[in-house]
Amino acid sequence: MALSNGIVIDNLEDISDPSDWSTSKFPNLSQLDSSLRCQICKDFLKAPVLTSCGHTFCSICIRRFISDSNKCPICLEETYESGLRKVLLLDSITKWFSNNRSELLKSVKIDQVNDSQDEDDANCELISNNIQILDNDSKSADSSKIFTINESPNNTEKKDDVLAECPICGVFMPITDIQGTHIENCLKSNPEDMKKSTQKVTRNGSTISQFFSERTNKTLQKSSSHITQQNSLTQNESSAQSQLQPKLVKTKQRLANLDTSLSTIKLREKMNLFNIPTQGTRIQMEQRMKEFINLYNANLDSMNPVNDRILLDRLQKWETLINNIKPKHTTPPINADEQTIKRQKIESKEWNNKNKDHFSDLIKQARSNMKKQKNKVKTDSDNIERDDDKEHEQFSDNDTELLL
Amino acid sequence: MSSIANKRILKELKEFSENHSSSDSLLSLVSSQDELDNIIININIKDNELYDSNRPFTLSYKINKNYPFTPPQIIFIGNNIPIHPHIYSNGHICLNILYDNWTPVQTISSVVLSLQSMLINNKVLEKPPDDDNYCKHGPSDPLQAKWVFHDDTV
Repeated sequence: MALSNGIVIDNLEDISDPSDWSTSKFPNLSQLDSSLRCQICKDFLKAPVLTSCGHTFCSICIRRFISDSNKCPICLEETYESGLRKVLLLDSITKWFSNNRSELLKSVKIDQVNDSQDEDDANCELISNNIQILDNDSKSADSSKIFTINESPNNTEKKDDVLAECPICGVFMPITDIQGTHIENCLKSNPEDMKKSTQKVTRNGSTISQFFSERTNKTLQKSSSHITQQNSLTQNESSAQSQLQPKLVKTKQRLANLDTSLSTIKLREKMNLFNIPTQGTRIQMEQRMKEFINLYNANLDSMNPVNDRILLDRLQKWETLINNIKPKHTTPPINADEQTIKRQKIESKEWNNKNKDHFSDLIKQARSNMKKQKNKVKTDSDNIERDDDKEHEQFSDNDTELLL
Repeated sequence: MSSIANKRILKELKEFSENHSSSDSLLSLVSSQDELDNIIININIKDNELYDSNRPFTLSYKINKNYPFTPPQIIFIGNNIPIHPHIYSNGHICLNILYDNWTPVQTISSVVLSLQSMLINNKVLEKPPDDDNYCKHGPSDPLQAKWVFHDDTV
C-alpha cells in the first residue's frame, strides 16, 4: 500500500484492521470488528478480562500496564490487578469472529451476500423464537431424539423442517433430507459419499447448537447481573461448552505481585521454583519475574491454557525482543561495546539452553551412526544409548504431567 | 523493535493512511523509516488566522521498544515550529497526555487530533513564559523533563 508520499509498505495489506469492512457490503461490521479488539494492542482480544470500571482488555496487555501504573488506560480510574475478572463468553465470541473473519469478509464482498444474509437473519429469528423449546429439548435430548422447530411466520422455506437424527450416521438434519437421498447413501455406507452429503448438514447442526448455547448463556447473564460462584456453576451445567475452562485452571493459583523488597537470594529461589533463568542484573531479574507473573496469570484467563514450559519459551522470546533494540537514546555510545558483548554472551547461553533438546538428539544420532560403522564399540555405545533412552523417557513423562 | 510495538504501529499506520489518504486532508504521513520507529507527520491548520494554512507543521512521533506501554517521544521538528503558549521553540510540547497521562489507548491519530485542536483553539501568538530558559537548560528529550500542567484553557 502506498502512503501519501509514495512510501510502500508491503505488509500493510496483511494487517487486519476494522477498516477492512469499509469496502464490504456491510461497512457497519467494522464497528463490531473494532469493539472486539483490545485498545492496547489493537488486535483481537486474547483472554479478555474486565476491569472494575467495566473496560475490557487482553489479559496480558492490561497486566503489563497495571504492573507499572494502577489505572485504567481508557478512563484513568484506579484499577488493580486483583479486580480483573475473565470474560469467557467474550473470549469465545472473539475467537469465533477472528477465526471466521477472513471467510466472512470474502463472502460479504461477493454479490451472493444478500441471499445468505437473509437466510442467516431468518435463522436468527427462528432460533430466538425457539430458544425455550430448544433448551427444554436439549435437556431431554437423550430420551427423545427428535425435536421440532416451531413455525416462524417470516420463514416460508423451512416451515415444515423437522430436525431428526439419522439412525445410521447419527447426524441431525431436516427429516426430508433423511427420507430423501441421505439414508440411501448412509446404507450404502460409502464413507466418502457420506462425508460429502453430510458435511454441510453437520456444520449447520453444530452452529445451531452453538448458537443456542450462547443465547441461553446470554439470557442467563441478563437475568442475574451479579454472577456469584453458584451462578457460574449453574452456567457451566447448562451445556455451555464454549465457556468451560480446563479443570487445571481451578487447581492453579494466581501468582502474587512481585515483592520488590525481596532479597536477591530469595528472588533467585523463587525464580528457580518456576525454572526461570536467573542470569543478569537484579533489575533484569525483576523485570523477567514480573513478565513471567503477567504471562502466568494471563494464561489462567485463557480458554486454552498452555503449560509452564511454553510460558517460559514466551518469556525468553519476550526478553530477546526487548533486548534486541539498541538503546539509542538512553545510553551513551561509549558503553555500547561492553553491552553488546554482554548481550552476545547471554544470547549464546540462551541459544544453548533453547536448543538443548535438539543438540541431544543430534548427539544421539551421531552415536547411532558410530554404532553402525564400528561393530567393535557396539557394546559401549549400547550402554550409552540405553542411558539416553531412560533420560528421554523421563522427559516425556514430565511433559505429560505438565500437559495434564 | 519488539514485535508488540511493531504490530501495533503497523495497525496505527494503516488506520491513519486509511483515514487521511485524500489530497485535501490536513494531515499527511511524510516519511517513516524502515524500522518504523520514527514517524513524521505534517499538520496543516486551516481555521485559525494565527497560522499560515499553507505552511504545515512537522511532527515527529518516535516510539520506543515498550510502546504503547511507554509514551512515544512527540516533538515538532524542522524550521516551522508553531508559536503557542504550550509549545517551546525547540519543538517540545507541554501537554499532559503526552507524558504523565499517557495511556496505551492513545494512537497517532488521537495524538495528532489533540494537537490539531490545541492549535486551532489557540487565541494568542505567544511563546511559553520560560521558553528561553527551557530551551537552554532543559533536557533534549521531553520525556525526561518534569512538566507542570496548570493551564486547562487551551
